[in-house]
Amino acid sequence: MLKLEDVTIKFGGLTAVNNVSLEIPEGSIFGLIGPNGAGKTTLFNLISGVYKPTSGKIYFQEKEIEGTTPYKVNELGIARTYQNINLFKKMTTLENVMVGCHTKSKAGIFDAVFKTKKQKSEEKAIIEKSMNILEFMGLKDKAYYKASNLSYGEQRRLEISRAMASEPKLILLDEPAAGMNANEKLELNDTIQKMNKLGITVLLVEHDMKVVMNICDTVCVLNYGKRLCVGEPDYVQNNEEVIEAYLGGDIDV
Amino acid sequence: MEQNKKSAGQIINEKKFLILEIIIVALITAYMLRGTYPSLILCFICINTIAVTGLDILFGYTGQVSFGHAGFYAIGAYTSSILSIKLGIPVVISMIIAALVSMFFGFVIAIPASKLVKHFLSLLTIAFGNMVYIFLSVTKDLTNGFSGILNIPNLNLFGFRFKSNQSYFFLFAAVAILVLIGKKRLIHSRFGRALIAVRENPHAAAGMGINVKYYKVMAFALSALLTGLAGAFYAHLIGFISPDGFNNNQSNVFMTMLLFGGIASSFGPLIGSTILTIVTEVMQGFVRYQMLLYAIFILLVLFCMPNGVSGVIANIKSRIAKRKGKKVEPRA
Amino acid sequence: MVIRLIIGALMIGSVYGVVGIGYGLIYKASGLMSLAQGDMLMFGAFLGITFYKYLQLPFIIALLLTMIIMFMLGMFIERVMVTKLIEKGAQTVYIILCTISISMILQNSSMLTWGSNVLQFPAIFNSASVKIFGVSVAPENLLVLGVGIIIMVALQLFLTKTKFGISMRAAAQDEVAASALGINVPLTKGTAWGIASMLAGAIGVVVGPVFGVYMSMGAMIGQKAFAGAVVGGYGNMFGAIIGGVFFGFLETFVSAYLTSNYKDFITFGILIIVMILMPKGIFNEEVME
Repeated sequence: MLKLEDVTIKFGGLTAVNNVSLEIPEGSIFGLIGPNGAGKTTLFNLISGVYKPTSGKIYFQEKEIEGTTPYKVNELGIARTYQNINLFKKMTTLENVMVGCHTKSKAGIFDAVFKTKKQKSEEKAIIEKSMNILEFMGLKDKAYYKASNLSYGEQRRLEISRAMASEPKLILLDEPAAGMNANEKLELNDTIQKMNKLGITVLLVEHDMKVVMNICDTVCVLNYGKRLCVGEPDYVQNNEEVIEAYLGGDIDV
Repeated sequence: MEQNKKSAGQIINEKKFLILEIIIVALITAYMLRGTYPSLILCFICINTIAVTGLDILFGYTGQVSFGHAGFYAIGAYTSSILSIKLGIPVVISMIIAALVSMFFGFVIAIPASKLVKHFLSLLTIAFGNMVYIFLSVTKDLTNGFSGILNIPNLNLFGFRFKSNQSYFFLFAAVAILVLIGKKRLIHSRFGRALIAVRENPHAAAGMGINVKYYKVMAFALSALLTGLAGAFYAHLIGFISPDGFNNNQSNVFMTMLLFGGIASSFGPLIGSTILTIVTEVMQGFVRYQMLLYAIFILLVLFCMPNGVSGVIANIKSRIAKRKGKKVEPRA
Repeated sequence: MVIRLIIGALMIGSVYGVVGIGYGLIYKASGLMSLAQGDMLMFGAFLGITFYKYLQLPFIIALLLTMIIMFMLGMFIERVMVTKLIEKGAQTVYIILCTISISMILQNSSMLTWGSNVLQFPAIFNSASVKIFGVSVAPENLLVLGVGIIIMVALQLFLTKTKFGISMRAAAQDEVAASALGINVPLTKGTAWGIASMLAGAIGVVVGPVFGVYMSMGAMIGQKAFAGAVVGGYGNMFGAIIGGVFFGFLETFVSAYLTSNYKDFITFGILIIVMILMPKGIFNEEVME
């Protein structure tokens, strides 16, 4: 579904991502791990069009997408969340998700000003769909809260809800479990698996090994911008290079 | 969206309030309409409301600042005047063309402006406002320079000639109300949500499939359209325009009205224009102090009521609601 | 003819340069923008004429007194108003707006105090003109150029050679690190605003005899100096001078050879073009977001 071929990006003298090739099969939950500064978020930014790779190619459903602007990447069916929560803070929870429906709706200025029939029914459908997503993510009772008034874990879930509203084929989750307590993490595992069952391919960056090892089909380890190894969770966990990269420490489950 | 969770009783209560407010405003308006001069003030309020609503769409909702909106106001006023005087075009049509010309300039400015943020956007809009002002002052063949344009014809609509301020008021008020309703509808739509998303977080907005540049440019164009239309109204109402009414200060006046009324709120532009227009007219005898007064108003808003008058009203309302034991979230 | 134009361009260019340096200083020190710089110049000119003409003080004393008052005014604006707004979490735009209203207050209180007519600044030198390269020039024009150059050199020395100047630069680069090293960051910020308004006031006093002193004298100068600062790379002092001199030459030569009516129109047009084509200015200054 998503294929990276020798993707490299340099910032000045620093090579943040170095010759990375990856293939993410359709319908999988793919984990991306690595120590801080390994280039995971940069890789996300490359896929979602925030950066253009210095060299290399990115294919999504056989289509070259590197350097496509972010909003077009979303239209193609890739949605993402952000490591440092990027919500529309002054909007309500519901409105945040409604913004997520942007690519899947059409009404323009004239429809809005003249309240055409088409616009009314579309708006109704958007609200209904957004409420369904909020229910799915367990945020329905917070629908009319300002996004900035939600707890940290709720904000993370809202980010996922918003991304889901664009009906993506591939969703990129950037550290969704950060700042969550143990219970919330368990719930998150469930949600991601449920999402996957709906047919959404998941690419996940995460520091929490429990989350990664429990739910991912395949895991890729990055270190200093390079691909260290790829494989099933068990294989990766016992790989010596990986253990060395983590200084033998926190990879234990 | 917030009304969804209000109880039925609350909605009826609010409707009662609204009807009461409308009746009071209507009574005052009716009383003022008996005199020519008070009617003129009412016309100014409507015109300013339209222009400030334009600025609100740009600054309040999309987060792009403009300190050069007098430029669009001037383009609207001059285009309509020149077209109707020199080419003899009917005033209705010249007004519409003027608004469209202003919108065109909105597009032209928006394309570079959409790339800039903060200081640089401020500077660009100031430069634009200055360029319009200088152009009007020195291009004597077209604009008659500092002497200005006299005898701008009155509006003539379906055989009805607008001569009195009263007749103009009904037209302007109707347009202003339509503009306010249109803005409200626009904001609560896919388009409006995209604008707010761009203001709140352009990166996330792009990530959600919103073409940030398109929405920034459209906000600019729409804003210029409204402010240009207001300018055209002003020219035909007064019958005389000169560059002095369209300098930097005018841009600051619009900004003050918006901030004073409250940005990104339904009635902010209306409240701000009403209060400041009346204050300006009352202070007519002390015209020397006018800009000083505006400056103090800005500082007052900045330091004491950051959400403007409508923010203060919202706070009071939520306090009353709390006292009654109901929970309403205050404005953020 | 050309030599006279060049001298004129250098003179007005150094005015833009000095005012532009003020914008750069404020931006470097606090990441903010003040739109009141032009009116600081105007206010300084009014103070200068008051000390020199009405109180009959020697010119140099009038200049120094003005500089001291302007320094305190700038410091006051930063310490009392801007800081308070930032504490309230105001966005940048609101601080710009705050400085706009300060400039409106300065303009109008000057008008109320000194009237709305152009005040004639009495001549400073006895001779009406001096000859340079065979061209006679009013000595007041040269004074502007001279004071401009002295200010630039003095500021450069202050920022690179004195301890306080160095700590100001350090604070501008990294506030947290600087305050960890014991630098009083609020003081350096306030000082930057103070120096900026002091420079504008000083150049206002010397420019008074050339243009006359009136309420709106600062508006255009302030905006063109800003334009120069942007073209030179915002926040870059050297760039502000080059940018200021560039606009000085541009408007002098445009009005001499092309059109004097549209010189300001062209100036702002070029500014817009530069902002589109080279958003980082000539000197590629990084812009903070």
